[in-house]
Amino acid sequence: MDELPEFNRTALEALRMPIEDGEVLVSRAAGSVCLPARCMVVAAMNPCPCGLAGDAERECTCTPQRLHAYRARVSGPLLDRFDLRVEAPRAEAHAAAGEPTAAVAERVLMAGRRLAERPPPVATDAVGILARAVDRMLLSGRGADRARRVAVTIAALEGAESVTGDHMAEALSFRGTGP
Amino acid sequence: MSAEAVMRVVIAAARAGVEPSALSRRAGGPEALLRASARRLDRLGAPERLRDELRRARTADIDAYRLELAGSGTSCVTVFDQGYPAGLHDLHDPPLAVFLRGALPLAADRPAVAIVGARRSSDTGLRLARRLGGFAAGAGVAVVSGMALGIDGAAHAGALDAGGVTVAVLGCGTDIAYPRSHRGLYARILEHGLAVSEYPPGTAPAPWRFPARNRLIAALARTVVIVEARVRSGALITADHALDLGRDVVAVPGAAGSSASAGTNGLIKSGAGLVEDEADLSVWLGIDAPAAPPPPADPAARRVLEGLSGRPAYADDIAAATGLGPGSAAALLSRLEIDGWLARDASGRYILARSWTPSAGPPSTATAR
Repeated sequence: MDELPEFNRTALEALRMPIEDGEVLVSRAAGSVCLPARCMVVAAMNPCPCGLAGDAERECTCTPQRLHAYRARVSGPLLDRFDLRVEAPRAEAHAAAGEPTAAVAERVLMAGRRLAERPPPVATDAVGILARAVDRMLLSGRGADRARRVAVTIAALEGAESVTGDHMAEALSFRGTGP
Repeated sequence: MSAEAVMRVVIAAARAGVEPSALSRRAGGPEALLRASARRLDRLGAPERLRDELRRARTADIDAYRLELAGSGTSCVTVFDQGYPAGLHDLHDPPLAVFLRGALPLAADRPAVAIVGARRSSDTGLRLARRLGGFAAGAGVAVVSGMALGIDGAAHAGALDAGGVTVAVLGCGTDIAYPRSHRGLYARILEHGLAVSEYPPGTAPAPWRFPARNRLIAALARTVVIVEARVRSGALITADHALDLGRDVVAVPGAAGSSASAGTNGLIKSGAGLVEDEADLSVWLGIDAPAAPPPPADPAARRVLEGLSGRPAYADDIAAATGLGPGSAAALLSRLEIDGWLARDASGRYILARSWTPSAGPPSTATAR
């Protein structure tokens, strides 16, 4: 979903259930039906209507009201359901090429297998970091659960024996701003 | 001049929907205005409905008007009354009367600091305004501001979050929450602080009222802090008033050449005090500096904090600049955020959440005498 805030608000809010529960409930006068909807939602949005907020070189021209209205279109509860939130600064033309996709795909398959067989246990210091983040109100209860799952995935991708504090801290960095 | 005459002028002005103070000054005082003939009022430029209201106000029931105001939780104090905010007497054109609404009686002996700045403000500026507001209010200093979007709102919110006292000076009647998106904030201010306006309830916000409002902000405070301001901005008007009134003016510096801070940098150039954090502000307010937490021991963490001084950055850029891998950088940044060193702005960039000075290592021979 490119330009996420440009979608209709009710359509966006309807995404909550499929993202959360992997199913969608359609209710009509005659009755309701629950349909499977396991999906991966990938969305992109600009930092602001003019696209320049946070840019190092050029200045954003949006008024506070426009900026607020733009960001408010994607509600906090919906944003909270995105496990990975990544900021993408202006791309550099001469950026080094990343890892080949085939290598990444293999690692992802391995991690999937590990997670299915025996997910790495969460170490005590990792739990401590998560608890401190919740105490400092950096994330909600749902956010904490999501971050924990992301931390397990990061550990599995690395082939680590357990989920360490660093894995948890890295997972928390994907919560982005807000709850 | 008497408080009674002022109240009669205020009643007439409120009913006619005009501003009481300026016209009364031109007429030579409230008594003169009440006595003025139709021809004189005409020459003074008084609208016709004001002429009618002035005539009616000569016999109006002042207590009934006060009761009417009390109905909306507002009280009116004239320049002759005990409760008139002391700082306003320093103005060459003090309002004849001000309208007060909220939980806080204006104590003359409570120190106050004004924290103002741009409506269009950076996240760094907003966070600093919040921090400074919270710090001052937490130390018992009232935080005065204009309840505008941006810096003003952040300063009020910081003061309220710290459980302190805050005063909003409005460019409209106390019965109107403006801007509308600050309705929630206004309710909190009324519950724990005070709203001040020279305009009677029912007066709508208008562009020319905000610069006039700024002189009250400057007068009510002993020190005026400008957090972010472009050139020719309302916050600079407040700074000008503060200088006229002999108040201390201090400003938060921005990056060299930044247009968002051109106004504050200009103030510093012409001699305003420089405030970067709570410790700097404490000197101006004469309160204790906050205890500085020890800097993190991890050298990589210190490198990150050093690199972020005054400049927000994305995690990727920090990873590249420090030579840490993206995963390790992300983990480190998260830990620093949880420990309160870093925060993220609305664009997701990391910014310093508290000021940080690289702690002095072994004393260098160049500086040691």
